Amino acid sequence: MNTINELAYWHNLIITYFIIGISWLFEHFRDYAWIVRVAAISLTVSGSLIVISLFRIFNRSLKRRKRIKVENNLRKRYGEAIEYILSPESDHNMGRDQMLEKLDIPPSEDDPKRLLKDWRERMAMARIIYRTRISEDARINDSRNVQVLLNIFGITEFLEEVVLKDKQHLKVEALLMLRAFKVSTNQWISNQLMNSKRHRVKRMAMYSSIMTHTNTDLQYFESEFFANNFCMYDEIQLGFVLQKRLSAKRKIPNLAHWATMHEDPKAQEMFIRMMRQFNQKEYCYELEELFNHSSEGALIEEIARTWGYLGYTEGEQLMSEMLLTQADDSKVAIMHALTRLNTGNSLPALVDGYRNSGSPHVKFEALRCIYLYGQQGRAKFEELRAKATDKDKFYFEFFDNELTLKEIPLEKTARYHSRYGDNLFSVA
Amino acid sequence: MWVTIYYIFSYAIFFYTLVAMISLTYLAIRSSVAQKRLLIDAPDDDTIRYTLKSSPITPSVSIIAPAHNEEKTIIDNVYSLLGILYPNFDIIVVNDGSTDDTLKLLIQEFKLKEVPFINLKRVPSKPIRHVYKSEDERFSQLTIVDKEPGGHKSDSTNAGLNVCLSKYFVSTDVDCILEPMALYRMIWHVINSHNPMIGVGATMLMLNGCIVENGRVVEAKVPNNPIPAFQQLEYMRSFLIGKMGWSSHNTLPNISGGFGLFDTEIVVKSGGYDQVSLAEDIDMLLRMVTYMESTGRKYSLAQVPQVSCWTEGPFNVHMLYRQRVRWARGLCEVISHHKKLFFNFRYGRHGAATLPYIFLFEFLAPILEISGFFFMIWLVLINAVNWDTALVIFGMIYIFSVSLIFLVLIYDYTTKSVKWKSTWRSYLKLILVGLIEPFVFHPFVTLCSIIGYINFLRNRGKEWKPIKRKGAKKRH
Repeated sequence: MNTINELAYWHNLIITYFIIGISWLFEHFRDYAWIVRVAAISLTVSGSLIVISLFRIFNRSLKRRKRIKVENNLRKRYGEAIEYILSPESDHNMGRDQMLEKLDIPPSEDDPKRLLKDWRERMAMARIIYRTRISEDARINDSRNVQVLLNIFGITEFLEEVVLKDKQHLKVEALLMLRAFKVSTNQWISNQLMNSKRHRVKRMAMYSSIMTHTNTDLQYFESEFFANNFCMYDEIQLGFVLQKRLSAKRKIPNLAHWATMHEDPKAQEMFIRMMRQFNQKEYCYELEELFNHSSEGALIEEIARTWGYLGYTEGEQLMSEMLLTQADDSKVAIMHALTRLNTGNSLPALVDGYRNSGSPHVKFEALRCIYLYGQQGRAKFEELRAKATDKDKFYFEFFDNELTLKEIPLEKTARYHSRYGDNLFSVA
Repeated sequence: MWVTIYYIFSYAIFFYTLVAMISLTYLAIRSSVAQKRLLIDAPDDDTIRYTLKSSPITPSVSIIAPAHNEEKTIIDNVYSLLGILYPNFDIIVVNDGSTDDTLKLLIQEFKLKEVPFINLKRVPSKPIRHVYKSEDERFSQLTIVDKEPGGHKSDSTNAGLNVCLSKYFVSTDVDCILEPMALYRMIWHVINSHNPMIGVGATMLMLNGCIVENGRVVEAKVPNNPIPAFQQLEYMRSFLIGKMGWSSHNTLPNISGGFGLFDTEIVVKSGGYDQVSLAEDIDMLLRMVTYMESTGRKYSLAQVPQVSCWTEGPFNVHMLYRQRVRWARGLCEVISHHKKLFFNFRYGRHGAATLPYIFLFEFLAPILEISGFFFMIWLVLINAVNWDTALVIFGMIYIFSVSLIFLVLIYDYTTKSVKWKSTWRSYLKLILVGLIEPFVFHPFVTLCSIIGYINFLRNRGKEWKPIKRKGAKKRH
């Protein structure tokens, strides 16, 4: 209460002096032209701004210095030990006593409240553990040591408190940390946060919930997903949490169904891309309708890529039939998919793609696919090389140059998000 | 009649100044809002890296860096570019018909071999002679495009676009020093945008005075030389107040030619860079906006407050004069080429607000300032100045401009845009520079602008004369 009263006092004092100052200015410049009065007031406001700015810089600087000092002290004391505990070289099943010994904490001091005195120290310690955890060296270690470490310093409870009570940016930071530590956010807390007005907080809470919830609960998220727009960050987060569900042997949704239900083509593309990540070949047939009727080139490309990656051979005929009617980018995606399927039936379609395209880009990609289409394809490639006109001969140079030849095979783990991920030398 | 002219002019200038001040205050407030939003939405560098590095959908980026007669610095600069931290990027260095050993040095150092290429001429550029790739696996990200000289940076960027494979590309100069985290920070905005992100601008600062080690800025300092120091402050004000403010409304007026990230497809569909424009960066952005608005597509533009690129600015009056005259002429070209966008609500917020602002407060300002200066001299000569009023108004403008500097420093401190070697010493220098800027730097820049406008009217000064560089201070 004291602090609030003090703040109110200073607030009132500043406002009072500000009003007095403005009144004095009006009084003082009463006989001057209005231009002068406006100028004088602007001058005063700007001057006040300078003073406030100086005060704020000074204040923030002090706070930052304190924060850095606290963090440095903790790092100096525990940093090395924490790095070792979270490193791949450490024993992955370290006991609490073993860890306390490593951290140089006597058993008599084994109490989170004694180890870290205040909010600032707890937050600093959470950040130190988080940064070490996400660093390259520590990533391969499993989470058991992290859990014990968090427990020693009481970080989990502290972060849950931050998630509930603190400022929005701290909530997001705490949620991210909890996720990195693989700590399931308390259900009640998640529900609270999902009602947040801040989009980012709401989404972070939602993803944390998806990670741990039962199958029924996902229906709630389904409706939530269909009601909102998506960005790539959502794709990354959703991919991450669904992967966790999969690891925990929990059911993940039928993404083809989500794709067909959603009205936004960008979200549809996202779900279709994710089908590749979760190997959902069994649902590929649900995309046939979309492939047949969609006018969105990017969507057709994603479906073709997914079918190609997942080996959905039932889609081969449909893709072959539609190849020549598509835009250049979609043609290339379909040809790549047919090459990945490599059933031996689509070589004529690829040759048609090569012969009937006016775009050098499509022509080159068709030739590349023919080249990669097994023995049969290689024979056709040589036949086409023998018959190539002078104008087309330069396409074949790519297959003779050792540097470019290395890049001809289609990548297995291609940058599959990108429309141009598989393309080599040009973009249509 | 003279009395009437006197009153009309005086009141017009006063209103103009007031509106300019209100606009700047508004932009400063918006910038603060944008920074607060970023504080919530953009995590620290470690988290960004952790999220993007392990993700299979991290977008691919090509860095297109034109080079013309850069034999002294090219190897260091390419190594600096190769040191960028990002999981999915490649570098396209475009040799714009260098007459020195630039290409030869590149071939030797990076073990380059000529490879076949398809030039689809998606965007216009001078013919590409050869394309080289490295035999060495360590430099597999590197592509060198050797083209006929185009005379302008934009022509080289277009040539780079004709061999670019990535979803996004960065337009930069080969002599710029990029922060290792620059691409991560920019792509963070792309992946968090609900509308297609067509361009991301980054904050640039003067390399003059900084210490560079292994292609990285290791000590950020405000230069002792006042000419780049003035520019340092000017850049900070422009990026942290102006551009951040506009970006909060999704109406970024310009993405700097020194360092900007663009959606390749949209740039290609917008026709690529104007090969002869002297303000190719603002021209490109307006082309993209025109394309997106006329096709009715939603889009986003963003500005990153953290410094991502260091560039060497003019270090003497002659070079500064040349640069500013070119910029002013470029602004005239842009206004002339894109006049249909100005005050046109059909082109969204850009047409309705940003471009009118540029016209009124960037294009007209030098004209009004110079005419105001002569008007003042005339008033002094005829002894018609009300000195009390004049001093109050002068004080208003001066104190306002100084208060903006303090705001810039707050924003710099809050967003940690620069990691200064000594924050307080740097701030003190910037404040001192800011106190004298209105009397020294600003009048000079205004004069250069007027000369640039005259050049445009007389159809002179079309050629792009490169700025001489001293090179950064190195620590080995």
